Amino acid sequence: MANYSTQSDMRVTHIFSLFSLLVCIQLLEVVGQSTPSAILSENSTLSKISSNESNMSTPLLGDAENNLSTTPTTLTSASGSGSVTEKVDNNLTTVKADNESSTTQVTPTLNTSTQRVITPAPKTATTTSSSTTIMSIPTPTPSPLPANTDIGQCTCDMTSAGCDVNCCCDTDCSDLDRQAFSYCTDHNYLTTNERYCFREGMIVTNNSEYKTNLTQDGLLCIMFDNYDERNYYTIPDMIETLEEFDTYKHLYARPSYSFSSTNNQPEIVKQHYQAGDPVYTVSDADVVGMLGLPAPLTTKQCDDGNTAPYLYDKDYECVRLLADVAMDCTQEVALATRVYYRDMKIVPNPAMLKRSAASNPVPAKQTQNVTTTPPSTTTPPSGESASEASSPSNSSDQPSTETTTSNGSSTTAEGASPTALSRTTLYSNESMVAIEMETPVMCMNRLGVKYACNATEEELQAPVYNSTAGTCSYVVLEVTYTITHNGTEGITSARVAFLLGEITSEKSSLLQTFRTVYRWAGEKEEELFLRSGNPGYQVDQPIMAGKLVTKNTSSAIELNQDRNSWMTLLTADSKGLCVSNTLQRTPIKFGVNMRSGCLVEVMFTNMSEACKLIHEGAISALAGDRPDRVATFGTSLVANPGDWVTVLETNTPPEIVGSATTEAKCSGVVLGLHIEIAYANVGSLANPQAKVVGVVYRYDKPQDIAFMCVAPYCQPGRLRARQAFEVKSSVSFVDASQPPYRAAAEIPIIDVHLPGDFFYPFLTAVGGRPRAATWLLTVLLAVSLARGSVCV
Amino acid sequence: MAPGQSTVIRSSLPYQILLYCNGWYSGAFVIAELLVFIYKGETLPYARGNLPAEIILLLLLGCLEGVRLFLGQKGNLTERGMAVGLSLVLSMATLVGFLYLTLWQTYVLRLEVILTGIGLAFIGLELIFGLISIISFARAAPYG
Repeated sequence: MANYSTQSDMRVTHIFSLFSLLVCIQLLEVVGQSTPSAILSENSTLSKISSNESNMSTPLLGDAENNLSTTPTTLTSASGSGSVTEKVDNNLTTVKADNESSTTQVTPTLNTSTQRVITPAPKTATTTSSSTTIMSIPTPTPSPLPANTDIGQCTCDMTSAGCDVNCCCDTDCSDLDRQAFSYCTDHNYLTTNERYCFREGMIVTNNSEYKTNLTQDGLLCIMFDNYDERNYYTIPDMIETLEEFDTYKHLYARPSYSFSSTNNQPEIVKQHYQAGDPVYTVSDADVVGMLGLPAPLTTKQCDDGNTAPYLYDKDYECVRLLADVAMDCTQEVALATRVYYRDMKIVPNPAMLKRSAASNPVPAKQTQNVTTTPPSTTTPPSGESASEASSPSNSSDQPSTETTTSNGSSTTAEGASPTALSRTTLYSNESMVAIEMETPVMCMNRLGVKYACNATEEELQAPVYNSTAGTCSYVVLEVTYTITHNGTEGITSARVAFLLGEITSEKSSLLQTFRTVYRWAGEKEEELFLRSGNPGYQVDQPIMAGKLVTKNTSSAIELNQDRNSWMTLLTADSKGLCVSNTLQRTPIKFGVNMRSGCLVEVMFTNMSEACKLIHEGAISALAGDRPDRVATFGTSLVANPGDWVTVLETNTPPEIVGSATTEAKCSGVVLGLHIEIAYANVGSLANPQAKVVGVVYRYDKPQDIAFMCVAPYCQPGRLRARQAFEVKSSVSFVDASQPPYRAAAEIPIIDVHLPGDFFYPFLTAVGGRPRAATWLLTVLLAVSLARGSVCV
Repeated sequence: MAPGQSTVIRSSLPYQILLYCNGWYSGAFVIAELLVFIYKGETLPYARGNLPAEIILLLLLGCLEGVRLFLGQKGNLTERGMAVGLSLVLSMATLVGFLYLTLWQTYVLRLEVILTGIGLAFIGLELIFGLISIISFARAAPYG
């Protein structure tokens, strides 16, 4: 290129170079390339434009491809004079352009001596963007985002003008600060270098952090990557109209909470109850509610809002906190029996509610215990339900009446309105099931003994506070609803049983138990037998075990009625001492490995005498009422002892223990029992059924126990102190399932014989079996054939 | 041609050798590129429609190469400057094709850089030898 001497010539060159640059980029765009990393422009006067300048110049392109604006385009040329380059650089640094209202104008630089305005030629404008409109009123445009760039360069810098801990890229941190950092939280997410064959983070398919390992540096690695967009999000447009928003939502929204204005009230649409449905009740004030079953929902405290699901037997234990026993005794409704059954009836069928819905304006959700409170408060504060109910109700009802009902001054409105009549009919309907209280009501004293309460009817309804003793008696401890139902026909009867107790003023909390038991109508309670599995044992079901009883010639298994005392482990009482009572022992459940221990206490002085007692106590604590047969399946019949496996024993302790050798020592005491139950899965692999195949009671070896004193207790007077020895038992389950195996048939032996006269002219076979000479002939034949083929 | 009369063969032997070898090479190149495209399509994410477009472009490039090499060989053997010139014109188009595969396609593997580099070398040498042959044919024409 020639050197330009005059300024006018230089200006022409500037325009020309700008034009050629644009044409170059436009050409590339037309070709369909995304980002050429290097462009060889043939006759460009520009020698070099540094990358940030090209970034600034890219908005000039208006609505050009995003990818074009991102790459640091380097324009190189073989020829070009330095002076021209400098001038062009100066001019290009201040190129400005609006994003959408692409008013492309190039303002002059201030650092040059003469101010020049370079107005792009109309030709240039048309090449860059087809629609060039000049907006009279400038709209506020959002700050432009560079496309296809990693904009979050230091995401851990959360405090502006402050140093963030462990954020090494934070410019507010000094080098000394950084020395206090334990590590750097900032990640070098993407280092893009087009020239490298290996690039960190070549492919981003999801948002998780990734790690790239250089496995090979071979022929199949990428040298030029022209698809950089895949690593970046596209820059979304701002949403300005509601329609646009809806389009976005339709395109991208996933199911979330729907804010549709549906009625919150549960609609009673079913013809009959289904398992899990709430059981509807109706109070004497004709408020429809649901049978509650207080349960610990989030904490251990009773939540009265829980409803009893239909047909599911539930058993909840929860705590009531009592601030002041004297006051709560009479004030707290949850302690009184009456709230659990009085003044409410169970709706036998939800269809009945539906039938009366037209005349019943309050299909209200009602929580437990609110039957005692005035109905005006239980009425939902929703004008919605009132207005909804008013539409099916007859037209004589004014809307004003309904609003007064919901406002709370209910009695007059109800009395005046014709619907009051229908309300009373719902409660007094004969088909409504009243909840009967089982008699006698059981009481439990402080020692845990249950007995039939001798209390008046009044006392049974609500607790009584004895101010002199400071006790509150007849407090509800247990509530058990027994509901008899008949499938689709609904609930036929309901009973409630209570266990009442006494609380003292020291107690600030009360443990209550709530149960529901569902029975099919016609079902006999005594015939029910809860299996442990059908047929294979199910996890957490008690192991079925009993004793073999032989009568005359026939034998059968004697099985305890209580399934929880079939096969048991020892249990400790609240002090950790052994309990010999069978009822309180822990049942062994299938598949649950357990270990339990309890303490046997002795004193130094009576140790030698106690040896026998200890031994017996330990044996009884260990084995309890030991069964000798265990059912192989949960469905094994007691009449068929063949289905029951014999319990094996090792190290069975002797009945009589040897006497103490010294005063403070017992020898030969068994202190441990380990039960091992082997089971095997049988049946289909997809549906394995556990079968118990063997049970072993493994007693610990008899050992000597000696009284040991710890330093302060070794004084002679202190030797009366009690010392405890632990008796422990455990159960473990062994899966002895045989893995399935595949047996393949033997490879068949193929018996191939040549026909007897195969070599007839040469040889004569005897009995169809070729002799040794036959083989020789075959080899000769093969060799000659091979030679012949080679020669050919 | 009468016996005893010496004839000057103006066809360029190196040009012919180049064209012959280039023919084999182009066939191998197209096959190798197709395999590379299969590899890339399996392992790398592509924008919609890019991969088919690139494969079509490769096939077109292969056809163009065939025509170019045929014209070049025929022109060289028949000493027709016109056919060789046409071949050179076509080589401009194939040059762009090769450059696309070297620089601007979605992913450029190192293998492709090597393969296209060889192709470009062929084109470059054939350009030189083709020009020489055209000149020699043209100079011979008034005397022929």
